[in-house]
Amino acid sequence: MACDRQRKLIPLAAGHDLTAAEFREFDEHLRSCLSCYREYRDYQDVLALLDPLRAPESPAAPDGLVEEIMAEVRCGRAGAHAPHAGSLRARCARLFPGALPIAAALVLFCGAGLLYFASRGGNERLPRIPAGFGEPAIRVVHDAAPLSPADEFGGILVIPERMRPGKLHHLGPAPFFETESLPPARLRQVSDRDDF
Amino acid sequence: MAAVSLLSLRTKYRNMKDRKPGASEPPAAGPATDGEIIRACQAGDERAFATLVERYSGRAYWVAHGLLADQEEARDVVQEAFLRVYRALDRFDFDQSFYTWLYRIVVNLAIDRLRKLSRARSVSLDDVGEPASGTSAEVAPGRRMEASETGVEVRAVLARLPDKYRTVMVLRELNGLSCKEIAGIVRSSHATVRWRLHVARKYFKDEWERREQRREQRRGSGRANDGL
Ligand SMILES: [Zn+2]
Repeated sequence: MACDRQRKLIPLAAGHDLTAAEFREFDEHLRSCLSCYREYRDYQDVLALLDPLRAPESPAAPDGLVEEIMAEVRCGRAGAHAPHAGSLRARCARLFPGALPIAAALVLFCGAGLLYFASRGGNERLPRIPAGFGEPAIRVVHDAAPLSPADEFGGILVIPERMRPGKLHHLGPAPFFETESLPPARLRQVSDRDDF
Repeated sequence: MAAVSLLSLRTKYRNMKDRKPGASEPPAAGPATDGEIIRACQAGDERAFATLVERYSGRAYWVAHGLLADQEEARDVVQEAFLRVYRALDRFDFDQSFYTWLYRIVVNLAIDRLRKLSRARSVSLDDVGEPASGTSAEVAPGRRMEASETGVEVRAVLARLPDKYRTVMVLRELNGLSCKEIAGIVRSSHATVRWRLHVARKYFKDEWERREQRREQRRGSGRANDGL
């Protein structure tokens, strides 16, 4: 039936997302079908509710955002912690004022532990990597998505691909490092992400 | 390194940044392309990165705000996204466009954060502020609707959409990106994005109409009670 076929196009037509050929066919049908026309108008009315939420054509960044980002970038380049208003880490520092020294202590503790195990040539403390991910390995990413409250200050993601077993990789001038075994579900989620 | 002179690149984007409105520009010096700027970044030029931030942070913020409906969360996500971009610029794939990559990171971070905050099902009036804008004068009066009851309802309906459908709605309806651009951002085919858009619009309309019916029923029962 012509109606069945055209009805499927209505949600796309209402947002101007038909190809030229689809549009010609759809437009032709609407001229003779009041029911489809009404449905099409209903969709347009509902989508118009989103108008006030639409972004301007060339949206400006909110005040201070560019400066905050560049301050974070400089902070990351220098490898130093320099709090500034509005930044994620500055806010974390305000929320957990005692956490910075604790995190630093953790770094030393975990670093020493890793050196110890590395010197023994063992990798028994490394997370168990599920089969099927290629080379089992570890990668440390500074400031990655926080995995636990302690990680708010420079998280660690364990990515099983690309890395050699038993080798710990530090990327970037991260002020804090902490190791953490991740459950297989989290590993899978991390390894499936493609923006790292 | 690419066969482009870094010095000429820097001059190009600095001229662009420092140009006064209305000043005439030399005919050959158009705005530097993203690829040119990224190569300058890779050579260690921080100001080049500032140009990228200025160019894309506004849209990135609106994408994040569209998904999160919260100004502070959106700012955090955009900051984090640019930091990740900065750290990974050396590995940038010049076959893809910069903004596709950036918005993909923004979308992924925003969705991660939504899941973490479990806000998807509970958008409150406080959360539904206007996206912060450069100056308050840029906010059209119509945008005030966002904080109104209807605006809250619209946000709540959007928030009920499953992530992948909400993402295409935010990118297409709120940010005006084409289905092809969205396909690059969400790493799906053009056909898949069209299908998701179809489903998302249908879901949005059905959900809105259900809410309208409930409101009508409430109004009806209120009138009946008044009549007693
Ligand atoms: Zn019809």
